[in-house]
Amino acid sequence: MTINLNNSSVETRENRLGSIAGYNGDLHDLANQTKCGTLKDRERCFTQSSSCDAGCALGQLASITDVAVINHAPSGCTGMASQTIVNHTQLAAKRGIPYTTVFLGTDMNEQDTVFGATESLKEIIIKTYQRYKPNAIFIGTSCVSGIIGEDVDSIVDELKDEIPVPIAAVHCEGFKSKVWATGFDASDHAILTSIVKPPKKKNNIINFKNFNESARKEIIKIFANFGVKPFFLYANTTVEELTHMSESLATVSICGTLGTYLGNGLEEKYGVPYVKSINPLGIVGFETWLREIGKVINKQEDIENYIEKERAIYLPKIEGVKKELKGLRAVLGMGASYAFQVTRVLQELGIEVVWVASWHFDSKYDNGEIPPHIDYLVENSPNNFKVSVTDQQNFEILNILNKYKPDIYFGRHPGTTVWAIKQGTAALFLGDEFKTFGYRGTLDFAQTILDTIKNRSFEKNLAARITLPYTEWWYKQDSSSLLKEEVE
Amino acid sequence: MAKILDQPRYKCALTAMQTVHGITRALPILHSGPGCADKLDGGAGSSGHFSPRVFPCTNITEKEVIFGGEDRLIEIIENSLKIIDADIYVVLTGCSSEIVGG
Repeated sequence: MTINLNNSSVETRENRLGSIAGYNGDLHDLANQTKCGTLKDRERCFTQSSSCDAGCALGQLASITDVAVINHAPSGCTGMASQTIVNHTQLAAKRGIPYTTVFLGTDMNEQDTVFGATESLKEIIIKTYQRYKPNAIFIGTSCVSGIIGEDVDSIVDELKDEIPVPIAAVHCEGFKSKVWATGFDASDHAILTSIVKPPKKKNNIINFKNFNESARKEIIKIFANFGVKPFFLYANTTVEELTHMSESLATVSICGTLGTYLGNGLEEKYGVPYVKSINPLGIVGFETWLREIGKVINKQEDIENYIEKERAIYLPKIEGVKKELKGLRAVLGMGASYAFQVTRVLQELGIEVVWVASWHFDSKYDNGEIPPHIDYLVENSPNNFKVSVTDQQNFEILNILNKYKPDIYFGRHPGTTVWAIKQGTAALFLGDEFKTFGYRGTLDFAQTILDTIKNRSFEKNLAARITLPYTEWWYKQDSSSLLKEEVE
Repeated sequence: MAKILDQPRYKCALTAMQTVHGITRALPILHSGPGCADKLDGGAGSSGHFSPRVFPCTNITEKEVIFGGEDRLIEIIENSLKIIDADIYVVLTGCSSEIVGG
């Protein structure tokens, strides 16, 4: 068991899940090494700026609509506050619901670094509560508070008697993990330990972990066929709603990386089944996922009827677009789950995936099993494509694109696809996590790919007029040449 | 003394990376944590000759916090000169490297 809810701090993905951030090889080698337990992280002797777990952890918590997030950090770390608040205010406005969450910092300076700042932190927490009356308070830690050894846990314990709402420390020091997804786990850990309450009575709700609930209406409609309702989290949720997650029928997630801690945590602690199948992207993913849900809620027959009905509508249309996509070659750069799941969708559409760059790789999930999408690809992928694990190292991606010259590059993080386009490769930015969801999403995705590659004059013209940040020397090297030997 | 930073309107000194970024073909090299450029220079979509994701960075982990990061900085600078096409390289230090004295 990897989840320990008695600790105030979450274990890193490296320690819990054998996660790595550096690798170069191919699908079969990666799968074999994962199964044999020989997979090791490889460091780099050159790295570009990455992301830290605090960004993920605090961003997730700030998407709840009625809390206060206090970042115990220097002012720069709280620089994310305005963007985060604007983003979630808009998500709430889209649904017409109130959003009162505040994102504050403690503005640590040199004096605090030398003498400590726990007393001022305490005052800031009290002041924040008095000023905003949030329904929960989360205290984020940072590199600075971590290095100087601020005892945030004790402050939180002391304040539990004074402040009448849940208050939790979120241990997300930026240096703690090379895998920023550890931050997702830190936010889940805080929710599981301080917000979720034991179940009083079961309901007909399925917890649905996602980012922006962009397919909300569609999924409410789908689930209504089976007599259940989705509860999307964390964006646009309230603290009160989150306390009831233990009463749900099941937990599902749009992304394996995002769901593993909360899903398995709710299962271990409260017996809420976590649907651990491949994720509902593409046709096989959607059907496998629905059937798993069917087993959990005992509605297999309804699920089969739904699948049959929807197949008749969508499969002929998807087949139609597929003809035009045949023979295309693709490279992907995405998070550890999406990279492999979108690969599966592309293969369903008849596109050849030549290289998958995964921003990290989990050797297992919190249930102890190898991520199911890896097993699926080992059995079903028509080719043994190249795989690298690289935390958004742009210099490696551009080197790969230059060498393999694919028809299209797919990215899921802002600012990653722009570089492919500047180098002359058509690229598609999958910012919406539901872009390839289900039959409707698969068809929509296929058509968007077609739109992207039909006319490539923009990429061609831009590439002819632009300077790239990398030297000619670098483009002559192998993309993995700056990886060091394996580390223990 | 730490104070409440509500609706922040300023960032930290490492935001000097924006100043360097503003000069054509000038490149910041960061001796800092992995999330600093993401938070200080806006990770999203920015373009130009460089962007925050292109800035070389030591991405300080637990290892450098404990054992120091000078060797790491040396190899990052050496390889930056080989890999990135810039006219001036400016090394900027963040909280972690300054506190541990690396």
